[in-house]
Amino acid sequence: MNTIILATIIITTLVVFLSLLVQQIRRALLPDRLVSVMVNHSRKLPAHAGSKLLDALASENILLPSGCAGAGTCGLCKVTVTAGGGSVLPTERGRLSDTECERGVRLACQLTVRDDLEITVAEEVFTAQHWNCTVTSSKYLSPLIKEITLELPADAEFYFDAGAYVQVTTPPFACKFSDFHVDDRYREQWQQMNLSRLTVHSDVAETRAYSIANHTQDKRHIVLLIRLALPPQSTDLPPGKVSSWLFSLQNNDQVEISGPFGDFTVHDHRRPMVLIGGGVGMAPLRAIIHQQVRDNTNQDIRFFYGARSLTDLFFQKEFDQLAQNNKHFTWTVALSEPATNDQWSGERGFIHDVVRQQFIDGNPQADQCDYYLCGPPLMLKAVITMLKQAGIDEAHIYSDNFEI
Amino acid sequence: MIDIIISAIFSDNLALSFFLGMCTFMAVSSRVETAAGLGVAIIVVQTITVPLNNLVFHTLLSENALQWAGIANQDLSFLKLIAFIGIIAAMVQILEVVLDRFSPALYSALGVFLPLITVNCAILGASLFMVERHYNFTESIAYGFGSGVGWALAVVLFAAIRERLNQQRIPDGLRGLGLAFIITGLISMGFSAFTLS
Repeated sequence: MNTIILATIIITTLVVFLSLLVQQIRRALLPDRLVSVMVNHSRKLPAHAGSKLLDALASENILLPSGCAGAGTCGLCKVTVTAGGGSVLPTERGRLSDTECERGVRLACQLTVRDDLEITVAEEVFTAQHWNCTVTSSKYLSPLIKEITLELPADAEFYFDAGAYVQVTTPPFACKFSDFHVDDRYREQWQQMNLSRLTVHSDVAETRAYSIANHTQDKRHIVLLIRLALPPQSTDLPPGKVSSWLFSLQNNDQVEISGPFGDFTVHDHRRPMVLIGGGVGMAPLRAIIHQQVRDNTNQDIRFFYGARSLTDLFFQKEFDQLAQNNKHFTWTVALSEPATNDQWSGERGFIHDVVRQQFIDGNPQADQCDYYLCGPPLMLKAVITMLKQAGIDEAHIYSDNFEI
Repeated sequence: MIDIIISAIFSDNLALSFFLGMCTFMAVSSRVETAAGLGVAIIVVQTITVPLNNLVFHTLLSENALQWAGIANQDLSFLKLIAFIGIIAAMVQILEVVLDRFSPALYSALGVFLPLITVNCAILGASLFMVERHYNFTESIAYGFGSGVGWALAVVLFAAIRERLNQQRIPDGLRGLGLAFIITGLISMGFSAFTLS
């Protein structure tokens, strides 16, 4: 008994002593001092020495995109350091190419501010803002895709370019799929996939990027298309955290949003545009189409959209109507695996094959167009390979990559 | 003294005869430069923590150590594992702060490795061997330094070989860690030759 008490006393004293020692030494040697960070040659910000650049910028309301909470794995928080900062750390190398390292690109979440720094960030970062939005509608478009409409807080307005994205941050949460409200239309499919067994939780805030799907002139709402990220069948992996959380939301729930970010916007308002999308890649393309049609740019816009079967197809009426009323806009849907009762008379097959047959082959104008792609990674890869084989210049292919 | 250093570097090499600290050994050995950085960090931390642990062990934990405080017949040596880890962690933190303050260049070279070292079993292993072999304070300085140099030598050697191997054509099944482990085994056999003399 004596031994136990003695051991407890000794080990507690030792640990407390060591912690105090480390604390004191840290305080004595690294006093809290302020350094300055010059952003884009125009704004000078104070920062605490020893803090991470990402946090230092965030406390001055410059919100860099970040999808991994500072772990250095998403590679979104890139900044260009023009003076100071030391050399690239091994922890950054995985996310930076050699050319980027040479140009001075760093990951803000890994870079510790020690002395005065000069950095450049994308201009859009200055305009990015942060809101707590309210869910005003949440409806199913297909068994695994939901359209979620968020309303900004009273008297806030949101200006963005079509094609931009916002970041959604969840609180720590836990939810069960069995609690989700499922549309009657899709209940059977949910049962077939046995989704109600799934649960998901997160002990920390999680952040993900989602493209904005609504018209740019609607400054009070943000519409997101969310695809429920499911684990491959017969595995025990958890489903996507943020998409599950978004699926669990009901009207009047609060969502933390920051944005807009991204450079997937219309680059040329004269060249004909070919938009190729699949799945929730619809979102930024829809915003772009509406913007171009409304602005009356007189560009020819062709929209190719790939879905698996009719149940995965949404906004069909909207685009049919748009095509009817506007001679510059045409759209083609291709189903890769139409269900037996789909009665589908349109195109069949993968979207990259359909685009090649319908548009590229034998079209001398094909290299005069700009190509905007958004969709699942595999689809993007196939389309880009096809376009390159057809001799389309890479400079005219713009794509929004989902992979983080 | 010299004996202890030499044997800790060669015949009792922590990495190659005891296979301690293998995860860091494998992970940070793809380039000689980073391996050397890690090696220096290990040498410094070993040279500080082994003697310090020796001191703590002999004043607080070993049998009848607490007689100076008037407590007799107490053997607290079972606490050595947890106490050593605490001390190593604290020392690494302090070293990090000191480097950060006085040598930013060295800090940026070694800084990222220091947290790795806290949980490196080679470091803890050296302290436990020090107890097992009944080293006194000066001997433990020598042993800490020697075992650190030994580990650093092993990781730099290994990184140099792996750098060369990156240029070679290697059968698919052996690529990466497969061949790395085989090579570790071969070097370790080479090192075991030192024990014979």
